[in-house]
Amino acid sequence: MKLLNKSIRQLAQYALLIFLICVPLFYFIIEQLYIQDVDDALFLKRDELRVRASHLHTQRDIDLWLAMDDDVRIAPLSRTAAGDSIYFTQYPLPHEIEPYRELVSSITIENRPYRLIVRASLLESRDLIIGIAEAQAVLLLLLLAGWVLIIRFRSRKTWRPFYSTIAKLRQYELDGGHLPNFEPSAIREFDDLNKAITELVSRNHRVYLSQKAFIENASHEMQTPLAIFRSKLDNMIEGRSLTTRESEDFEVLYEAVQRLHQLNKGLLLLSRIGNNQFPESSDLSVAMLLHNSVSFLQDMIESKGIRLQLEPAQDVRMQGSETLVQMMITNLLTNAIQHNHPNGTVSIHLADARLTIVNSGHPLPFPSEDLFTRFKKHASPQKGLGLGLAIVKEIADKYALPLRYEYSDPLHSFSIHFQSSKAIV
Amino acid sequence: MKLLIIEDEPALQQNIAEYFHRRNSQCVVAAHLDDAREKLLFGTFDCIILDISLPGGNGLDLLREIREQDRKEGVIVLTARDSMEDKIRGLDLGADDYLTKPFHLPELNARINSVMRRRHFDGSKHLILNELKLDIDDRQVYVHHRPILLSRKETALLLLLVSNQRRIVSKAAIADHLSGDDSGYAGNNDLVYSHMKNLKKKLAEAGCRDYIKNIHGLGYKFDCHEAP
Repeated sequence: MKLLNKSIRQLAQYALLIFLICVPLFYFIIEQLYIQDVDDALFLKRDELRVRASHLHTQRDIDLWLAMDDDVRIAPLSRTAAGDSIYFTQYPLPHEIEPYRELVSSITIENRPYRLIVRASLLESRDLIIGIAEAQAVLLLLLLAGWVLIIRFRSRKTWRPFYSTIAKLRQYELDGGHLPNFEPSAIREFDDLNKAITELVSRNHRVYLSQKAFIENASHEMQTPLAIFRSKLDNMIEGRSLTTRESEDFEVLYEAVQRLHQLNKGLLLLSRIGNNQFPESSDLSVAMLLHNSVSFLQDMIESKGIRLQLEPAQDVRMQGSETLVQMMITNLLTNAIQHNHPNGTVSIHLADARLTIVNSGHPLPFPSEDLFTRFKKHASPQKGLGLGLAIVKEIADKYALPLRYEYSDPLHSFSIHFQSSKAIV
Repeated sequence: MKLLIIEDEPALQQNIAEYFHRRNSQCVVAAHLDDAREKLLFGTFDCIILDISLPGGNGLDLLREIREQDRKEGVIVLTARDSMEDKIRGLDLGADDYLTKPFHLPELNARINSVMRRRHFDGSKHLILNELKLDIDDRQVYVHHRPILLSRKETALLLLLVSNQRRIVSKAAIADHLSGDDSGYAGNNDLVYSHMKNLKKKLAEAGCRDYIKNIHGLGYKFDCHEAP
């Protein structure tokens, strides 16, 4: 749940609760107060009537008096009444039933006891109470809704730097070159957060750069000792007659140097791609590059007895470094040939801007997510260095080409989509 | 042939000198730029092997000086930095060829031979070895004056061996020479076998004697004097 909604939701729940409790409660309280008021008025009227009754002397006076006030009735009583009672009652009117509050008491006129009934209409007051309650409800609703809206608006403004930080972090890439730049916000906590993130990111960036530089320098520094090693070997096998045993030893040494050299070259290449040291860009025909790769690898295909199925290609063009894109395609193909059964199959399909290379081969001995990481390889005595696909990935990433791997027994399938490419120079 | 080897790494300098000394070349070595300038002042050479990263300056500066002085030496630049810019700058400044460390000495030798042929072309654009004739520029091979059809790689392989006559060229050197790419995949010795097999077959079919000898599986040697 979003942070904004979370705080707002609690507020809104509270506001709704208050609203639901307060409106009926308010209505009830006002009504009680009003009834109290009416009762007081009725008692007051009874007291006034008792005082005024002392001026009534004849039956005619009484009748006249009663006719003047519709809300007062009297009836003769045989004996003095026990006490007062007050209650709700209703009287029918032509169109509706009118609610009343009635006080039954006693009054003495000319020393004769009478039952006195005084009433007050509640009809108008009920409308009034409902009106007040409605006004109150509207007010409360406005208040609470306004409150929620203001808080929502305020928090959205308050949290804006936070969301902007998240958006920037999401865009940030370690090898992207530039560090995320956070604008100062008016809130100290966010500034602290941004500062902490900036520190963390630049620390990581420094570590990343130094590691990259380390790999590059280490690879470069190894070139000279390797050159010494190799030239020494070249000298040692010359000018003497070698025994078979010596020759075998030399061969092992040559192969070891060769592997080291290839590894070094691969690592250097990876760091050079990462450092954007292939800035040249031209309009490339993928079909042509594919054709080049196939003819370049023809010997390897033949020596492994691979059956190659090359489907008619539907060309697609892209902008990029010819060296790199050629290398990417060659490496993908080399992978399909090297990690194949003897006499296996490789089929190549280029259509709808998608290059798909499918090859037979043993299932991967490791999870497929690791396929494009460096030095993940078969434990079998194949001669892969474990860098070929890492280089493919690095190049595909450089040109933002989606690279996919799928396995459906017994076929491995690699595909690259060239359409969404955008050249990064 | 007189070579000037400008290389600061003593072991490498010595290895190169030893290798070419055995080929009856006269080798002069220099370990830094001033040393090299001095040696250039007092002598002329056929070919200069120049390391780019030297103590006391960049080897490319020396290359510029050599070209400004209009000297005729062939220059092969060596570098540990396998970068395009260095390569292009080196060739722009007038280097004849460019090799990245670690290289194979037979490869260096083949490059020097090629530079020498280009620089002093005394009409000998052909190499004639008994019944075998190689036209270097057209990369065409003749046996008994009849052209034979070799693939690009088979021709390259034959040229490498011929450039290093009577010397063992290791399989690794051949694999490197044939692939020469940055693919990140190891050079493949199987390919060396298959190219070698095809080359020998084509030469034999054309009636060429078997001059290419396999030395204990370690490498190959071209020798047209000891042919069977």
